[in-house]
Amino acid sequence: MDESGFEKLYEKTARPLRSYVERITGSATLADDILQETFLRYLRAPLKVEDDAVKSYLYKIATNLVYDHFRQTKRASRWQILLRTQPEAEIVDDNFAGETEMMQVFRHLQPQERALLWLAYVEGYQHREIAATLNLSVMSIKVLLFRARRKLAQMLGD
Amino acid sequence: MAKEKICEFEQKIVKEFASQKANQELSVHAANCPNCREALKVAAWMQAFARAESQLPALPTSGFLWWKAQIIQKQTAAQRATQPLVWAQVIAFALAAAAFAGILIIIPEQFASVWKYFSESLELVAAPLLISFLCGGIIFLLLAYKSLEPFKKK
Repeated sequence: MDESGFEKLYEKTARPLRSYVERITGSATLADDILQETFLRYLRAPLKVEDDAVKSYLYKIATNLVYDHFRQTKRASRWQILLRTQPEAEIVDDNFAGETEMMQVFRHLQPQERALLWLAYVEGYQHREIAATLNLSVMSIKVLLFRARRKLAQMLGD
Repeated sequence: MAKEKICEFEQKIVKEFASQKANQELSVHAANCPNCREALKVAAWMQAFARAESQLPALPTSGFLWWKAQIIQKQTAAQRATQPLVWAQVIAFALAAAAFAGILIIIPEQFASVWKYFSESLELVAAPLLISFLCGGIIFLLLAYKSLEPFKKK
């Protein structure tokens, strides 16, 4: 891929991808970091992805980076609790400072549920596309999406 | 746990309603299917949530990312190219250390006699020589330690 090709791809995908990452992490700073790392990994990737699959591939990289972040945070929190270097309340999550009311609702979902709902209802991905992005089977996506949707619907009320 | 009843029209309905192209048949189904109603409600909320971005963030330019990727690629290539040299340095250090240890172990008597010779006949030169030898050894060890840095970073 040449620089102009990358520029076009970036213009088309960067903003929605950043919104996706920001909504599932709840942190603008983290979203910026993950966005950069996603495109850097894409540019360094040895395999060539077909044009129509590029967007899905970028979302897949970003989702994996988000999961890695949550895994690391969880591990670090466990150590902090174990070592008692910080009060528990402070450890939980400080990413959501200054959040909107909608974000407050959304944060009650698990990161995977947030990703599922965003891909299905904002990006308009089909089940098989979500399955490819989240490394799950289509059947699992149907069930998980159903549960996530029900959970959010219950939180939203009637 | 309630049994999950996944409606086969759900995706289609969400898509058609979003683009305001839902036909009569789909509208009737949506009105009567609780799953589709729920999907539409959640989809509408999600889309409002997506639009509710307070301010558009400043993104890094594509040129900056392209440049950064090129730098990283060059660094990786350079690291890959110098890897055999680093290995050679490590092996050379290990061999030199082994040889030095061998000399000290195998020929202690000769070493002692050399030391005696130095201390007796070259009293004035022995001390500076010993100090130089020790300094040289320390510098050698430091250089060898520095050559291991690329491995420690990994």
